[in-house]
Amino acid sequence: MVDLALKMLLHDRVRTAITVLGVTFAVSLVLVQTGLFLGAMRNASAVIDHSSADLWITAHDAANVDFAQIGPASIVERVRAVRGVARADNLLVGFILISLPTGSQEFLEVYAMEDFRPWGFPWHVLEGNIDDLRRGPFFFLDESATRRYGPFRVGDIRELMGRRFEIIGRTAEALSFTTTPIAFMDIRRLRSLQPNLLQGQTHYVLVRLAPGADVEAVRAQLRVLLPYHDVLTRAEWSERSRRYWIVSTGLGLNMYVTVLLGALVGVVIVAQTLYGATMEHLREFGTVKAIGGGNRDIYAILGKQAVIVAVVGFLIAELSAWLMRPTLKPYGLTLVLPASVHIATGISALALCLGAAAISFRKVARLDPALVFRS
Amino acid sequence: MSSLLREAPAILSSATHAAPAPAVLAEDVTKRYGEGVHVVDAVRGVSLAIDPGEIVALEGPSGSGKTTLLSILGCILTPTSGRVAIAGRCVESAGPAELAAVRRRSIGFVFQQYNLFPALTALENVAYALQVKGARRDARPRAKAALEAVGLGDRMHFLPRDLSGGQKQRVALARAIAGNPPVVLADEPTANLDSASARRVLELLRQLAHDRGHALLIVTHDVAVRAFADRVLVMRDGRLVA
Ligand SMILES: Nc1ncnc2c1ncn2[C@@H]1O[C@H](COP(=O)(O)OP(=O)(O)OP(=O)(O)O)[C@@H](O)[C@H]1O
Ligand SMILES: [Mg+2]
Repeated sequence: MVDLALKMLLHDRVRTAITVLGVTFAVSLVLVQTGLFLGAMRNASAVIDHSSADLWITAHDAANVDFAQIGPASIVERVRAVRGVARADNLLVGFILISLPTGSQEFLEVYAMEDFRPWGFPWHVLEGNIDDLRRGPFFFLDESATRRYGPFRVGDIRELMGRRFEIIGRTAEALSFTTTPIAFMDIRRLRSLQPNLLQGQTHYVLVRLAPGADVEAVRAQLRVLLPYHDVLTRAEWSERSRRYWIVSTGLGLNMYVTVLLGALVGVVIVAQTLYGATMEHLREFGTVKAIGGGNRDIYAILGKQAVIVAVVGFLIAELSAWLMRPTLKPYGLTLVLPASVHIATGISALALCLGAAAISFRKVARLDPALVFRS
Repeated sequence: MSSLLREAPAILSSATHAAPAPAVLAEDVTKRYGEGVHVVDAVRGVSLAIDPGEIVALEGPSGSGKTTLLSILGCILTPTSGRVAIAGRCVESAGPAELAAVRRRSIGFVFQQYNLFPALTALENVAYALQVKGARRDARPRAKAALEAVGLGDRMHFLPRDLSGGQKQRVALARAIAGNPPVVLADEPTANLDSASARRVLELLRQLAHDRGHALLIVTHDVAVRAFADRVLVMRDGRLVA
């Protein structure tokens, strides 16, 4: 079979390259923007999503998991007394100062509980035993801290709020939207570091339901008990934390605008080059008609070219997004791209290229085949 | 003439009829371009018949309507009035799809501008035309045979830009005859060629038409074509005058 569509593309190398790059540009922009956005969103609710708590009791209208508000720790006793509650524990999320070997000070976000293990915290331990936190001035530090604090090892000593602490474990994937490194510590240690602020206080109460207990029933009881708190399911709290960042930082809008502009620029480039190519090849399309081809044969050629351009451009974009990952990693940025994003982007690229080709269809349909006789 | 045309299909299908049916038949064909004050009557009442294997030259001054008539006979334009039958099929009232089908089955074109696909080699140009005409696996071998018939067996894999004008026109000729159409229409096929190349192309045209029985109409300004034709028609102001 002689593949006229493909041969024409290969013949017009420069134009084809520009068209393909138009697609690549648009698709890369969409993939990277969406990937970074979803990556940031994953970080924004990572802690919540990985906890095994069924309900989170937070201060009223708490914005997100990082910006915690304080309340009396004693409510945990009342929560434990509610029927349908299997377990309830306090969780402190504090920002404290850490002194680095260089002498400079940085902020550290500390998650502090009495017992982490029942709540699935931390969910990815690289080194160390989380139960050892109780035994002294110890903490676990997430490996992502390397970027901000420099390299560290288990056994290293760091000053937290002017007191010596030993790093006894390393975790991974404990990230927050604020990009402040995350540490894990015994709740009493954290309180002793900021006694005025934290003594007798808690930020959150995590709740695990008894087997068979009805979430809504338990929630209703808790709301009566704690009218000045919010009682949220894990999904609700996760959603609220993410929404906070989307709205407050304009990140969501930013992503939509970039995606839209990227797609628009891509469409314009592709439509423009495909249309230009059609105009330049009108005589050839006239010849196709003269030798007995119909409009459909020509549409098939244009359609096939659009598909080839879309597929090649998309694959190059996917490859470049994939190659970009290691470059982004040192900056703490991850591209989170679920299959649905790849599929949606691919289908959109295909649809947009076919749409761009369809602009030329009218021109072809009106093509005067007598033009083949003109000189 | 009028009755002959209307009965054309019957004549073709009738084995008992003595005379061969004409491959091209036109009766009182007119073509009017434009509207209002810009009306141009390019063809005014032309009737003609070309038999299989017959070579007809169509001469006339510029603007006399030669290309217009050829386009009508080639089912590229529809006449404003009159009747046209190609290989026994009346086409004057056929729709675009039917006309395309007639072009596919029954007509081969040779253009002054060659109109080869620049992205395709000589072989692919011919094979692609055969593909449009419905050939599949046999497109390449048939294209090869057609190129060999025009003496381009050694240039099959050349792109048009690497061929001389005469060679390009021979590729176009191979493309026109590859599907073995009953009718071959050529519009000034030698106008862009030097006299040696022109003679080569004309000799090929004549040989192919006679050997394979194509009805051949050559529109030309070139007096050299007269010598190759069985018959010469002259057009002036949209009418056949000889
Ligand atoms: N699409 C068109 N619209 C309007 N007028 C046209 C069109 N095509 C041709 N004509 C006119 O019809 C007349 C016949 O044109 P045609 O091209 O058939 O002449 P020709 O004999 O082939 O001339 P030449 O020898 O220069 O090729 C001319 O006056 C031309 O201007
Ligand atoms: Mg002409």
